[in-house]
Amino acid sequence: MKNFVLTLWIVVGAACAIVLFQVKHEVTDLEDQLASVEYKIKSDKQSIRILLAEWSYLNRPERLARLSSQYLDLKPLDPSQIVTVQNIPKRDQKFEDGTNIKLPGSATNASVGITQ
Amino acid sequence: MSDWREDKKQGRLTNLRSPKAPKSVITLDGRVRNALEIGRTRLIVAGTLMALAFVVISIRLVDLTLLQGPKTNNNTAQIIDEAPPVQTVRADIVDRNGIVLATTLPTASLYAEPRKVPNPESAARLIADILPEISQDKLLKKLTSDRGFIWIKRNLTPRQQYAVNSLGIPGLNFETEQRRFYPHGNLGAHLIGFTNVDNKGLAGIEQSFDKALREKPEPVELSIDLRIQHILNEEMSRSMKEFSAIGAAGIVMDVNSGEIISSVSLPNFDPGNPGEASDDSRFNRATLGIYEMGSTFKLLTSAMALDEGVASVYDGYDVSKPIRVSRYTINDYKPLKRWLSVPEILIYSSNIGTVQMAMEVGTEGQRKYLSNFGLLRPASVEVSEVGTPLVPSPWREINTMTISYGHGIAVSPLQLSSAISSVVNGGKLKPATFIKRPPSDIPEGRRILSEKTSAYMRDLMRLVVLHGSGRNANAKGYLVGGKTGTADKLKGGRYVKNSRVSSFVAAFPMNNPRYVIYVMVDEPKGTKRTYGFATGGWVAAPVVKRVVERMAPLLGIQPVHIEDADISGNTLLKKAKARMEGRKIAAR
Repeated sequence: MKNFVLTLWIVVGAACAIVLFQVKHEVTDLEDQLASVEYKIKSDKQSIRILLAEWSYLNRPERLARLSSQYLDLKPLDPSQIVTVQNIPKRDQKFEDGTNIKLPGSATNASVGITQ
Repeated sequence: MSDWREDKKQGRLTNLRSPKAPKSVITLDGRVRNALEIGRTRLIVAGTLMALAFVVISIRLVDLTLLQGPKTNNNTAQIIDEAPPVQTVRADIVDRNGIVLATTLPTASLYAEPRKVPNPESAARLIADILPEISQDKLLKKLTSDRGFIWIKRNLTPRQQYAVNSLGIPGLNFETEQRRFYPHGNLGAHLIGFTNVDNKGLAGIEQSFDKALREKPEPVELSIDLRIQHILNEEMSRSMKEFSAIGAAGIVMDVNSGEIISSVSLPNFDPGNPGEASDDSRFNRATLGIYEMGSTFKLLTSAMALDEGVASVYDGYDVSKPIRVSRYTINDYKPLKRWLSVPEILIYSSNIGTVQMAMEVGTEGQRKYLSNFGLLRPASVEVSEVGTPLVPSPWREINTMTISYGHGIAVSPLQLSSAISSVVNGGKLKPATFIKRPPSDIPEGRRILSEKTSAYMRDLMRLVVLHGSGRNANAKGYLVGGKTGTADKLKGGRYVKNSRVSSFVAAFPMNNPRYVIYVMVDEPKGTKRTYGFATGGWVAAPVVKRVVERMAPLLGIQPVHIEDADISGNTLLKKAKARMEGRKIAAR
């Protein structure tokens, strides 16, 4: 009986030691993982900072204007390119030469020239 | 009966009550036994106390780990997370759309330990290829020297660092340093400011938000819109060049929120290298510079006259004779020698008429209104570069007269922009700010003028652009209203001809103003194209026109058919037109 109790305690003790050792090992592993993830986050954040700065640098308005005039066929919006819905002629409206269309931006009305 | 019995197995006496405890075999009597009994009792008491202590500890342990466990755990974790991380990186400054204006980048500085470099000749050649500004001979000399440590180059670009790193030469190492970087260079440099080598803010937002930038990771969001800043900067530079001016200042302000959308001061400087900039280019003309504003003040004078009720828009004044006060004579730039209505006084920018309006408001009234407009004390904004206005003391009648048309008082462009914002936005002065205001956080503002006065002022400003000195600001498709201002500069106590400050203050779109634009050009010289004129109408008004035409589409402002909008939106024009029709009918 007494031996049995003693053996039990030894077994329990040994089991505890093994479990403890394993847990400790796992924790160390996890800590290593954590450290490496944290390092990765830090260096990713660092890269994001650098990329954001570069993005901002590449998006200088002056550079964009230069590139746009070099490669694109776009021009600044002219107010007369915008027409409100009210000013769009009705479908059944007849057009004759000289019908006035009010375009924004122009001080005087644009005159329709109808070409057949 | 004795407690003790012979145990054959173990070959000794064993206590029956606690069979495990080995016990001395001797049984004793009398004094010695007594002493032993006392010892045992003491042991039991001590043991019980210890056991109790352990029980308490165990209970507490169970309590902490199982009962309160998760909560306490979380708290600790949070404390660790929230504990102010040792912030080594200074936070960014961004514009209202989140574009980075200032950021901190880690830069690598390259150093070498010459003793560890195996082949100095090839190393020197390879490094000199990557870093062309370093001479190969000098580097070789350094690398073959017997020193333990040498700097090769500070603050490499990431690309250079990568290239050097991939050489894989032993003995070369990098030291990481933090460096402030301004991707947009000169654009907005005065406002953003700059830092010293230890990344401590020395000017502008960098200085006033130094603590926040150091301690908080969130970026500081400015009210500036970089696109508008660029447009204003470009158009002003063009004007400055055309008129060979020595400087220029410009402000675009949101009249409803008080946010400053753009603030430009020329000449400007590179905040990444402030040491090389001259004092003049570091000087912020838009907030720190104070100037006599000239005729743009006439807007304020007529606003106060209308608001006080001493004049109505249908009243008029006789401007045929110059005003003489003691030894001063106040005359008009282009004398008209007749009776002028209030709108005409603004359209033709008559000093004589404006002085008469101001005199009816009175010295006290003028002072009260100017103080309400915030023109008598330094503007309170988030940068420390704020000019203190130059105000007459004592404030005599002659001062009232000259101030009515913008002489004898000097204020900063920022202050004038805020004041004009309150004139057009319905009469409320909103405190100006360089920091983005969320729509929920827009201050109510203080009422200075009545809604009615503000409405009249909008109509009057539009008339100045339609028929008066501001014609060059009439943008295509957008209702611009404003007032020109040309003031001779005071040098050594005397006004100097041909050394002037030409400005234009405008608001648009005039039927529902959203932005105030102020442009000032310092000492412009007339050109052939302008027939030698260098007044506000010739120099600053075209800048405003171009800025409006370029910025309005970006900000989603709908263009209008100008003639229609003027007639339907402008009460004064409508009435004038009706009167003309009436006259035509009467003449028939």
